[in-house]
Amino acid sequence: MEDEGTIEIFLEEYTAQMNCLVTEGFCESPLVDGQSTWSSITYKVADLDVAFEISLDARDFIVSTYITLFTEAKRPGVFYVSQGRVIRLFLEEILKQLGTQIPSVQEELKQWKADTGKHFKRIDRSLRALKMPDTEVVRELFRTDAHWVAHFLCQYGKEIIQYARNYWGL
Amino acid sequence: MPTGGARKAARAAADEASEHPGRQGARQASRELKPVVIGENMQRVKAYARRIGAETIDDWLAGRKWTLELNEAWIRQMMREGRRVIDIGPDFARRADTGKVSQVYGLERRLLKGYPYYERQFLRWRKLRGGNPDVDIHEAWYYILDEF
Repeated sequence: MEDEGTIEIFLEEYTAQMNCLVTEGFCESPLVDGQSTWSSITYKVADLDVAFEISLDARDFIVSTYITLFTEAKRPGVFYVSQGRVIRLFLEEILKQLGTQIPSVQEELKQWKADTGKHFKRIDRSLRALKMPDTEVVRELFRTDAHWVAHFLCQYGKEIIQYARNYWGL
Repeated sequence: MPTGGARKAARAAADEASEHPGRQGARQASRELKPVVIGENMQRVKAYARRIGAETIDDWLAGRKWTLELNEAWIRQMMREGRRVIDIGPDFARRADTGKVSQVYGLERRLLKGYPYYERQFLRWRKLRGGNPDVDIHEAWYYILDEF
């Protein structure tokens, strides 16, 4: 990981594949935030206080995708909860719920975990040995995960938003 | 004139002393320098640090690229300075969702073993439940209160 940093690879891979959200007018242009150890890309849903947030923990090469209550999630000092409400929901949790109504989602979820799991195992092995993982392995992990996240958000975005609206009473 | 072995031993002793400051000096440092926050999931760690006016490794890195070596150097420096180190623990929600555990946070915990100014600010309840009530999902807290 000498030449290209984890954060740069993350931003390249996810913004490239998530572009469908913006081109279809579903979301506004992405907001990028971060420091040395983390980075996040937020796609706010047009005309709604809800966003898709893709968050990288650069120390562990873990990417989490959340559906957020946008205004609350952007407040400093807030993470999972704000004023007694959960304001970040995991995409995977919502997809598991959707899978009970749309059978194809269950299969796709399994495939997502299998595809990313094999890349992550190699990274985890390096970290356990206190070594930085190879750049190409990191890129493969992010590219594979970004492909699946983009697929879910572009394919089932409306259903996911409906779930979030019901959850937050919007 | 000290031999090579003696020199090595002396250097090790000096390093050891600088890592464990005298009680009075460290108490002084604890009062003057901001505490630092550690935990799993850096966005979560940053949010908690903002709430309490503490610092994180990002403040120390000041825009430098993170590496494992720098992470270890940061922990060692915080110990030398006698800083309060506040640990908000694992991100149990993320562990439950992804099954992934932070190796780097584990390394920090190992380095801080026995450090006198380490403060644990989280609860753990069974394998995947617990956290810090200021930043973590609060359904877990209802569950804990019910159990008690």
